[in-house]
Amino acid sequence: MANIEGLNHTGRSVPDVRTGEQFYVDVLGAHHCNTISSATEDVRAGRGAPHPCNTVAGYLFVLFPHQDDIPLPESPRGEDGSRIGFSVSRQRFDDVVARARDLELPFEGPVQHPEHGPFGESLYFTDPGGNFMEVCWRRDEEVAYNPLVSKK
Amino acid sequence: MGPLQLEGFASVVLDAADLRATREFYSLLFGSDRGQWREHGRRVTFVGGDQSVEFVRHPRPRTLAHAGQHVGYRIPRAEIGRVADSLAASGFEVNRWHEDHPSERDTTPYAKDPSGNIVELVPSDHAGTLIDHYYVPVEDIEHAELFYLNALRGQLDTYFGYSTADVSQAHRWSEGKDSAAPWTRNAYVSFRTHEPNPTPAAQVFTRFGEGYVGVTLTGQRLPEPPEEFLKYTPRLVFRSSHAPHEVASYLASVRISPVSLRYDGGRIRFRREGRDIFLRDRSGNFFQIACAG
Amino acid sequence: METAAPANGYRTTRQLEKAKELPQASDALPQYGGHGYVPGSRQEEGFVDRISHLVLGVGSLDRSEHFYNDVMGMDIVGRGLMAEQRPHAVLRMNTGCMLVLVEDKNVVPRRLGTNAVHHAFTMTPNQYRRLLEKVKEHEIDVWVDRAQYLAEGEFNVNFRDPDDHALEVCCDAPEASEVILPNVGTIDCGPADSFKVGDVKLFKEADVFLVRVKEGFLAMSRWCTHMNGRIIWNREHWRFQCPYHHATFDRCGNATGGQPDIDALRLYPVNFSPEGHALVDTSQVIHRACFEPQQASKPPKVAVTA
Repeated sequence: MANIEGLNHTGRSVPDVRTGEQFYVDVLGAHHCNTISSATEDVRAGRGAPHPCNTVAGYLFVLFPHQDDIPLPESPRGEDGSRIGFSVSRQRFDDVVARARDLELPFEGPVQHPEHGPFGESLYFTDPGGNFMEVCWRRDEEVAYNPLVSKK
Repeated sequence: MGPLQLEGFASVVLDAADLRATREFYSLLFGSDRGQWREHGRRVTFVGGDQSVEFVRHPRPRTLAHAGQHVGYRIPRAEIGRVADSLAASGFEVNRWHEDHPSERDTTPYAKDPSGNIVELVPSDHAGTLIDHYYVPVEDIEHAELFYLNALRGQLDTYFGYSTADVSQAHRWSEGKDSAAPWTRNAYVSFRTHEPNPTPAAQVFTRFGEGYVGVTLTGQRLPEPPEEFLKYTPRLVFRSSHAPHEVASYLASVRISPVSLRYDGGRIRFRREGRDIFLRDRSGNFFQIACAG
Repeated sequence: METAAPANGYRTTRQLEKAKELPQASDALPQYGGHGYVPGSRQEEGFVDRISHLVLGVGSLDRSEHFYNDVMGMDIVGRGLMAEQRPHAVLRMNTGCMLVLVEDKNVVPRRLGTNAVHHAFTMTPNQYRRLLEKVKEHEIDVWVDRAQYLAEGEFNVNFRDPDDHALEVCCDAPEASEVILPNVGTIDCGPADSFKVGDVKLFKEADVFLVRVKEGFLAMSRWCTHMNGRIIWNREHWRFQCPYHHATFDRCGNATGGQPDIDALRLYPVNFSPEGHALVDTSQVIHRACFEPQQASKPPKVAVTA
């Protein structure tokens, strides 16, 4: 057993948090949770522009506006510091590729991973802030890991 | 009935400490040929076209000026300089600021009436209409957005304060390079960096007919009248072609909340008085809907 | 949560002290995902099924693999397991989440011009206790950005990895959701007729708000039903508010916003003494989803005078 359970959330920035969140909702099916810094008390604590929180398959993203205008990366595949990967079942992976095409989402892949590793195939794309993202299917999807969260 | 539709603004109702001084101030603002004054007891009303501005005598006027509450009045473009000068000549402080609605990117004159209500002079080629916009501070912008867009069914005009470009503007303002109206920017000390954090006030602009309501997340404390109060000043009066019972049954059916609630929450509280419906947003901004007969 | 400030920047004593606080020893799995949201509570079929991995660029694969294994407690799965030209290592966490480290000559932990980029991990109380020993052993600079926003049982620490990636570790211990009892027995809140309808009064020794609504008296626990944050009475808005995660409650204790699907504030029974004093029995907690009129205790009609 490892001494850590898992990933909890990621903070990242986009040029406009409203249109940025719309991408997460429309394309990734995110659920809007709430917006931090949307109340007077937050303003008085100097928390800055509102940062919407949304969950993609239960994983929390907190969006902030970029500090400066920055160019989008040239390729949808990269890590440029970091990349967040999601998984789908092997059966659903082709549907996801088809859906990315339907949505006209610029992507790279599918890329095949070595058979001796935990990853099967991956698709790479970015969010509107140029933050790298990935969807894969995993060869270890049948392994009984700890749940991502224990129900209350 | 179909979805609620508020066709525009019928009037604004404001507090005034001194009705005579108020009348003098607004006579300078509106001139003599845009309408006429009516007096009735502790109220005076300026009626121009199909809109009016009503003042209710109150010893301690509730203006919310500290949080930037104001009314934008349309002034004929050619006369705006002269009107601003005449206000200044009469001893009223006139400031020139810009705001964040697309129509307010150039600076315009602002003054405070004798009771402290902020007045914005909006240059217009359509000055047959008195009220250009109504601007309210709120303490929860997420809830307010739902109230104005989903409950009152205003049409989304634009957002401000959510993007890199908007944050950059706040930085220019903090360096003294931008003449934004003071209620549209904040620079509170960040709990994280322990330094002032120049931030644009998050704003949502919603259109109702020819006019719009600007809603801003304020950094100022907004003492609210108790939640039982549904009819109070200052308030904006919307015009609706629906009958009062239709509006009432619509409002009774509406539920708004940024999060799911276990009880029958997100209700809009309102009160009907004859043809009028009185209601408020969660931050204590008051509205009236003047319904068709 | 907002962790873009430099690791060597100014930190308040509270931010540094809070980073030393430990949860009670426990292997309980996390119940919350941090910041109040409950992961997994909305898992409709979407574009993707679940979180899988995080990829980080690192300057030295050996150094970072050791850091994430030794300090962060991840298991090493192996190297060269991905379709990736550059040297890379895969590490695993208990929920199956992976960390992929990719060696790069020019690591940019945060692209210039981005803001608040950080990655947070979840630990059980025991894992978190071990982490704090490790950061001490390795003399890693740790602090808590959101020190003033942490409720009871909510633990959080911020630090940087060897490449300056901004990290946060969250541990929402069982203490965060336990019902806290004040252990002060019955408290005398004074004459019932000294409360007008609408009055709200805090009794600090019992962490109780006594409220008189038109139906009668409600004695409400001050502990938020979302996580154990002490709520405050927000006089200017006529409501209770949790300063930690924004939950709001009306005067009857109904949850009105800020956090989804949480219960109304918990109640204690209110009785009245023969002299007409309101007595709150803090030994019994009444759970409720929302306010119902019969929950309010009606004061005696005529106060008895001695």
